[in-house]
Amino acid sequence: MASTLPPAGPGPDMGAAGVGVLGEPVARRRSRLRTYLLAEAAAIGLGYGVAVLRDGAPVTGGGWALVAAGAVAVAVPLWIKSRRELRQETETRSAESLAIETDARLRLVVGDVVTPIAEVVGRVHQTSGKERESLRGQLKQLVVEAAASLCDGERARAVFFGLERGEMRAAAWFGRGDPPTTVFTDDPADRRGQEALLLVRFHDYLLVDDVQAGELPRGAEPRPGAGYRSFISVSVFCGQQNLGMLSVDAPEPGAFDETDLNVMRAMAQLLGAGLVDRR
Amino acid sequence: MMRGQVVPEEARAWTAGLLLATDYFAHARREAVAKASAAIRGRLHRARRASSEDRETSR
Repeated sequence: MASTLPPAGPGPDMGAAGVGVLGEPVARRRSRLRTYLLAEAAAIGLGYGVAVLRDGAPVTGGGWALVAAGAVAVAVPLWIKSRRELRQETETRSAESLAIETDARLRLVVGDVVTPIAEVVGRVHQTSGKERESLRGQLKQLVVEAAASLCDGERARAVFFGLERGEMRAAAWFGRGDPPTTVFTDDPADRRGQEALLLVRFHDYLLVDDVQAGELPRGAEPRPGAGYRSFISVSVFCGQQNLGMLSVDAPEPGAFDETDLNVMRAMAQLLGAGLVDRR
Repeated sequence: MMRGQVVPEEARAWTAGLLLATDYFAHARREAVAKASAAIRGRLHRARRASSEDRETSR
């Protein structure tokens, strides 16, 4: 039975904001600079008004024109300076948000995913028989949950296709949609299957940005009616033992980048380390 | 000083199947963003302080 965690605090300065790659609001502080700039403008305006009115208000049209020209001469540099400072502040904040997202992602991958999964891999090799098979099933599920949750794609789905007797079938999956039904075979009529099996045999990975784009690698075409546009597939192996293929896909094109690919490679290797048999 | 569990209780609950992946990852993300936010702002603060101290000493 699943339990729920107590809600975590929103963290420092987490207000209404844009959404980052982690799917969380990006921290945005209320601009103090804007207040300073307004105070500066008010002070300058007051000083200018006092200076103008000290000797009495102008009485001629030329006098008022001079006052207006002076006001413009004071306001223009102030306006330019304010714009520049606000732009600099926005850029600084964007850089800070990006740094926070990157750091958070690193924490999530290393601390919250790789560490506990590595512990399960260790336990797999300390057990035997039914308990080991049960832990392996658990490990497959943990890896697909992690892959779907860590990769950037919205509504991503991760699947582990286990290799058995020359065919690959879905052994664990997590994410959007129905359970995957694809079976990859070495049948000459199953070109996608042959290419997928080759990818596993050669210990390769494949990242496709858009399956509807012009040129695709051999065998990367989606099956008719497939609900995804981009995907990553990675061979799962340990030493010379081929174990299957780990895939993540998303309905939007360009959902994954090289960071996602590296996450998938690490997940695939952890899975391989847990599924390999002793020789 | 910092001391804690290598594999925390929440992570153990997730790997043991006692906690849903969606709950685990939602919580882990919030925690990671909050900690990263504090860490990055701390680093920026230290960097600004160090650069202002450098300017002071070079005068």
